[in-house]
Amino acid sequence: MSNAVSPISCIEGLAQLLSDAELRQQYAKDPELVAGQLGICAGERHLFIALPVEQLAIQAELLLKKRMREAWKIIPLSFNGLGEAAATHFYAYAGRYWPDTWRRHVQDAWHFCRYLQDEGLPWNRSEWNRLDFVYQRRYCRLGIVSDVMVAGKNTTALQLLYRKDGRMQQRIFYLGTGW
Amino acid sequence: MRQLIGVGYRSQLAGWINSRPAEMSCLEITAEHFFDDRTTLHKLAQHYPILVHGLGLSLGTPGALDKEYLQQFAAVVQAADPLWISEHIAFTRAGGVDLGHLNPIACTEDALANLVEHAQQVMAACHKPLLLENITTHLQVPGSIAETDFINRLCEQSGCGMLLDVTNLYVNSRNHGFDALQWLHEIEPHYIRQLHLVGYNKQGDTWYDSHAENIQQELYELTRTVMAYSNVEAIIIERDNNFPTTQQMQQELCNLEQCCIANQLH
Repeated sequence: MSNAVSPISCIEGLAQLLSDAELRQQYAKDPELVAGQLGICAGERHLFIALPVEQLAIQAELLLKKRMREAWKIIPLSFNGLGEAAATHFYAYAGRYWPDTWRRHVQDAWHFCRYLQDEGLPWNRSEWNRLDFVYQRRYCRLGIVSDVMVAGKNTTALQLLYRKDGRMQQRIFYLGTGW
Repeated sequence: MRQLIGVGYRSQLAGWINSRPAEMSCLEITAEHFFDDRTTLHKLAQHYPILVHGLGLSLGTPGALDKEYLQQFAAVVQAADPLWISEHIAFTRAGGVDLGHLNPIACTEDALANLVEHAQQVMAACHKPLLLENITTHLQVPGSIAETDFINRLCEQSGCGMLLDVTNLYVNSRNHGFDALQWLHEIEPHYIRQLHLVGYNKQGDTWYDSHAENIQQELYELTRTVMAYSNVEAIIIERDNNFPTTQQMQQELCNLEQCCIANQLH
């Protein structure tokens, strides 16, 4: 059996570099070696090995920043709950997982929330319920949550999610009295 | 010719857009935002001339286009019945990796042939004219063709027009140290049909197009120069973050209207 790698283009190699920090480190030390490992085609090898290392790092970081900004818009409470470590946690997650559908921002936020749950990090339950409702394309969901903010306090409540004209709607019913 | 002036539709601006401000004469929608929501799209299309803008067709990816993605894109185009459609001179996925955002291609003969083929496939699927947009990039990929020559040849061979992102041109010229006006004058003027514009931001020595700032004066000046040079038909403000007040959005639309009027008087 042959171990030969099918030749790939400079752009395909660039995509690998932009998504893989370890590969970028290898490339910075020896671009020829990485070109060989990836099997960059002979006609574009000279383009690949001339990619500027510093600019590669900037572009790669920008991709992660853009992902984080979009995910943050979707789950702001969970990000805020992580405090100053939010970016560190997101980058740790994002380097290992790349969403691959046109719903990538929702997909990214959903997988980041799962990462937070798996790692035992703080996340917001009611926000997760909304995100999961959208990501899984659910039609109705009822659950008890304890992190709904009422008058500045976390409150236990019934959270009802449903669709109207295709869009998610939410109703919150407080348990108990006093508000 | 009276230019169309509008904004990119974002849900955060929906209330204002639905109030049909007098300053706005067209609306650009992002195709991917409507892949599973035709209801809103139909309502918008009843009130505004629509332009459909794509983010993820990844025209610069070597090999075949993603057929399923193109079908979804074409379905949005059919529902919106836009004046034209647009995408980027860029790739978002390649080699099995979906990077999710725009990345530069190498300006080579192979890349040119690839982009021409993809652009023609998109036009054939959508039955609408296609404009191709210059992107901001912090990475300069080596190539064998100058970027402006590449764009001219791409438009000529594919039959596409150009969507000139004024902010991207300005940001790239600052970050990579070239003359924006010289770059502009190397582009064949008749290809430029639409403009994108939004304020830039700067951190340290680096300029960014984070789509989060009000339009700065030097961008209006560059816009006026572009308009005097070419036959722009539409200008779209592309705000994605740090949304301003509706008064600010209306002021920016008025400022662009003034750019158009000043251009007509010359």
